[in-house]
Amino acid sequence: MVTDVDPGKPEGINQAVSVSRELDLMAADFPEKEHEMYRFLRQHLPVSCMVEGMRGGGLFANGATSSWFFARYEDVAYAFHHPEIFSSQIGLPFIPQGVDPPEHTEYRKIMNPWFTQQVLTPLEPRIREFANELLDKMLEKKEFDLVKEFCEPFPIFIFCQVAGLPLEDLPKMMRWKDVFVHGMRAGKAEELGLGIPTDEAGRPQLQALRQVLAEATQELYAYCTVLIEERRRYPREDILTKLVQARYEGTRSLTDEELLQTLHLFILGGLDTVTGTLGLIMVFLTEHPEKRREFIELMDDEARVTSAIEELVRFTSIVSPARRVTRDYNYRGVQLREGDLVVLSTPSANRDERLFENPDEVIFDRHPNPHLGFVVGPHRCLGMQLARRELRIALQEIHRRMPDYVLKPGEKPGVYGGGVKGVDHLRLAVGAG
Amino acid sequence: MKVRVDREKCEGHNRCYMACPEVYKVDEQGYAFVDEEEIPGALKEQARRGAEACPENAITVID
Repeated sequence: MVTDVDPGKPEGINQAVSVSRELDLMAADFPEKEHEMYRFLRQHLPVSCMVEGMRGGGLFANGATSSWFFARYEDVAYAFHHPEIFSSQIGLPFIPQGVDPPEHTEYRKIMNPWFTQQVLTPLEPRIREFANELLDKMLEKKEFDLVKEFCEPFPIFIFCQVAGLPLEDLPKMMRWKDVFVHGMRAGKAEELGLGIPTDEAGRPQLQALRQVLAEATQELYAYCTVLIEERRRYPREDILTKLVQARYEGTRSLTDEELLQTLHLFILGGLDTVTGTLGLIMVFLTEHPEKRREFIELMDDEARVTSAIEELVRFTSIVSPARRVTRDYNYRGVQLREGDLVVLSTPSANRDERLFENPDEVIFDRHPNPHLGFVVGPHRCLGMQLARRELRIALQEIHRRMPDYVLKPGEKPGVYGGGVKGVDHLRLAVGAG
Repeated sequence: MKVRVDREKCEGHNRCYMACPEVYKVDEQGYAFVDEEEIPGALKEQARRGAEACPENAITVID
């Protein structure tokens, strides 16, 4: 379907436009063809208008007339660096993600110190221990779903420890996370039992989905309100306590609304992104045993494993954040209108051949590697140092304990696309001899 | 050789620190700084790699 065209000819332009019309990040078959499409768009239509695409984004596209897709590194990075034109205020009730500078800067000043190397290094032994507890349990079997048994519980447990969320409430939080993050996916709403009517493509109806999301948000807020009250009375050594004790601009406490909007985001960020990235990395290493061997060779060398993790994050890049255009703005000859949505594709930017040599290859010692996997500019991932540590430790321990895994015969990894990519299941077998 | 960290541009990726912790330090906000701009011979190459690793182009190398 996607072949090379001459953009100088009218049929070339038409083909480029027709590719952009197929750009539907939520489509079931999208993961198989995404990089082929991205490569084409980077070449022929770096700023393209999305028609069918990003249905999930439609949820937040209140009043937006058009949605645009940025495919090249340079453009994606530019937008991340210019929040005054490409605003994060797209209607998500999240702090600090859905806020622009200068307010955003103040929130980040409060939160940045919670996730620095100095704070996280002492946690490392506990993280490693927990990875092994999960592996002990999983490896009692010869066949297992790595996503369910490792990729999902691993980051959640660590996040709960850091944040001070009670472990016995994990199932509740998982459920909310699933509703928020996966409720809009075809088939998934049904699996989650959300009772949302779907269209012929199996996608949940927007209005009904909004209702379900609003209800889940209320439940989550009610739950968090209790935790916040507890920490006000009985402070502890955790992020919840630090949140209630925080001073905005050094003067006032955060309001209940601010606290809830922050916790809401932390739960989504802490519960889903490492799961997705780790899952996709493991899919890659399952399908490329030669790369797996290479990884195992280098994984105990601190400098080499550090750069290998960066490369795997570049290669798997899971997020395509949206921004709202703040004013009519001509960008690269395209007239963007105030209120338009722009999708900034880190999966595409991180494979941009203008910046990365052999972008579709995993080169563990790639340098330089200024990838956008954690996003750049003011909204770069707050938890990235934690995420890197989790990924490194998880991959080291998995490969120490079970270097010879294979895909269970007859199985395919359950990779899904969207604004945040991930893997539903990865069924593996070990000890086949 | 000197290196200079533009604190306005730094967003706390820590990639300079990961490449060359001997030169690049991280403050309590997670942002990079250097104690000594002048880089000793033995660390030159590593310091340069640290600068090149920055996705914000926040580090300048002055030869």
